[in-house]
Amino acid sequence: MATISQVLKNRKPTIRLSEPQKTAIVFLAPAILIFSIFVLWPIVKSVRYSLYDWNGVGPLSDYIGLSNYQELLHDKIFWKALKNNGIVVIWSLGTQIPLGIGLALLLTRGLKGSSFFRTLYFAPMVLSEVIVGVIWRWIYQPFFGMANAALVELGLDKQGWLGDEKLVLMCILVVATWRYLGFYIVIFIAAIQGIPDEYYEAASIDGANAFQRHRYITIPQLIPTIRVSSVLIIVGALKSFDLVWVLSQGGPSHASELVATYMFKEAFSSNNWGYGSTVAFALFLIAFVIAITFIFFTRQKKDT
Amino acid sequence: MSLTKQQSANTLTKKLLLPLSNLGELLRHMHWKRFFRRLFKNTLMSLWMYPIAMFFAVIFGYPLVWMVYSSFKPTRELVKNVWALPTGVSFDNYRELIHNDTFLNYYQNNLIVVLVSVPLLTIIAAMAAFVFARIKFKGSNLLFYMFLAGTMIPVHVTLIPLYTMLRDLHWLNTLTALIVPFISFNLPVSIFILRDFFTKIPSELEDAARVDGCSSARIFWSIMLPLARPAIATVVILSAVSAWNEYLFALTFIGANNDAYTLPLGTLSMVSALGITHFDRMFSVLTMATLPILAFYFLAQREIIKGITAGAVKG
Repeated sequence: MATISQVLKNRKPTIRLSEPQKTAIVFLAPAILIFSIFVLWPIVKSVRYSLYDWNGVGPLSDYIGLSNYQELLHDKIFWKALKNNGIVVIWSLGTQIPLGIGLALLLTRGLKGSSFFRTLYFAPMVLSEVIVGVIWRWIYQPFFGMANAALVELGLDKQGWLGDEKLVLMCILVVATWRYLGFYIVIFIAAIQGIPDEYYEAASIDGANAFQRHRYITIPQLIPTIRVSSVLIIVGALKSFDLVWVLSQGGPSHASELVATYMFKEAFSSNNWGYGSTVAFALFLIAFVIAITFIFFTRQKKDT
Repeated sequence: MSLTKQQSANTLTKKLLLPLSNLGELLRHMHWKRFFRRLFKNTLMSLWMYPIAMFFAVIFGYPLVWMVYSSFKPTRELVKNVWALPTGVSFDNYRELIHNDTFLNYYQNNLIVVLVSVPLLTIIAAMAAFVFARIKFKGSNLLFYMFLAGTMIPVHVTLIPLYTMLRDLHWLNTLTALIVPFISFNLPVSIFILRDFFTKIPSELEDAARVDGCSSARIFWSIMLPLARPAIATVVILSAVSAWNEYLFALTFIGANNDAYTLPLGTLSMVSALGITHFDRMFSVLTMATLPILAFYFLAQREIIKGITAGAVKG
């Protein structure tokens, strides 16, 4: 006992905080409080809910252990949704980055009016995804939509677009590219403008042609930006919901289902709150692994 | 002016007329390689660049233009030909909308959400960012990484527990149910942008103020915040645009109360009701819902583009 009181006595001076430390506590308190209550705590609660069979209304009493997770592993719709999320990532990596770099190169070559083009390309980014979704819903409208009108003009057969299981995901991905491409163009413009002119001058003196200059200067210099864009695309794909919800609600027959839309439907349409939480927590785990990997890699890069 | 004109006229004669008198000589002595390279660079390059730039301009711009002019086309015209321009321009639909209380209420709710959540978010984030950038303490890095990881958490993960929490707090179907979660989820990126700026402010200012006996809080208010104005503008713009467009929280937490609907939710419900018969009215709803943000964008496009891409560029 004596030792404990001694220890406490010895610790006392260190407990006294300096003025900046007190300020630190006061200044951090609101952010930490709000973030813990409305972001972190719900994640913990979501784990708890995922162990129950619950319809969201009554008391939380039907404890079923891990059977929701077992069900998840055998849930064909969940895997389909996850696969669709993967398709979103692959499509976005394959379109946003090459098109973003290409158009950024185009707009950084002293083209007259390039700032006008940049403003226009970026415009869809400020619109709500709901508005974007509604506009495109009418473009894809099967009876008099623009997409079918164009096909008729070309002498081709009309398509069902959003109503067609085979086409629906592709249709949504086109809209997503339309909405987000401006964002990547602007990021790549900033990156290209950051490359020192001396590199290109030196290369020209050495007799490098335009292709070689881009191959050996532009692209390597853009690697960090390409990496950041890839992370944003992967994280963004996991978060995407609004557009799909407005365009197709994940249908028809789950053809455009994403993990987020599936979770939302399970919880708020079918009232399977326990199982919905299981899907949500699976989504969290995937995002968490990606986040940790990303932070790990960026830290490593800074250390070296 | 006249002199230079004359000079250029002179050079023109020299370049064009004199060589023409001896074309064969000229062709023999011309630097063909350089000539074609320049021709290619100056003319052909911009010749292929403009069509591509215009092509994408049409792809990005046309749907928006189409939305606006379709709002002037009566349904029968639209069904006959989607592309055609309207035959007449009548603002009746817009006049109706401006006097439509439900629609005005959506607008008002949206404004309240933006005007309440953006300042609160900015000040809370700025305080935290200041601490992360300027005050060393144990665990500071760990806490910061916790927030950083928060930028990657999909909102959907917390939707069910948030719903039950807001239900217990009796906040469901009120604007508070939008504002508080919105602030929480936008803290990480705001802290991130502001911290980045605070770390770049030279420490001499802070040191001088400390010598004069300033407290940390005073340093924050009187030195750091005024200096961080550009970063604050970035955070305000980024969060204002995303608050204006927020849909998921609205759909989940206020879906049952039409009086609390914000614009995205309200537009969608109006559009579903109108779309089947009154296309012109539907498109005028869409146009009215986009107009403020598009106007804001074209007025301050440089700042808005910077704001929306800030989080990414700094990553």
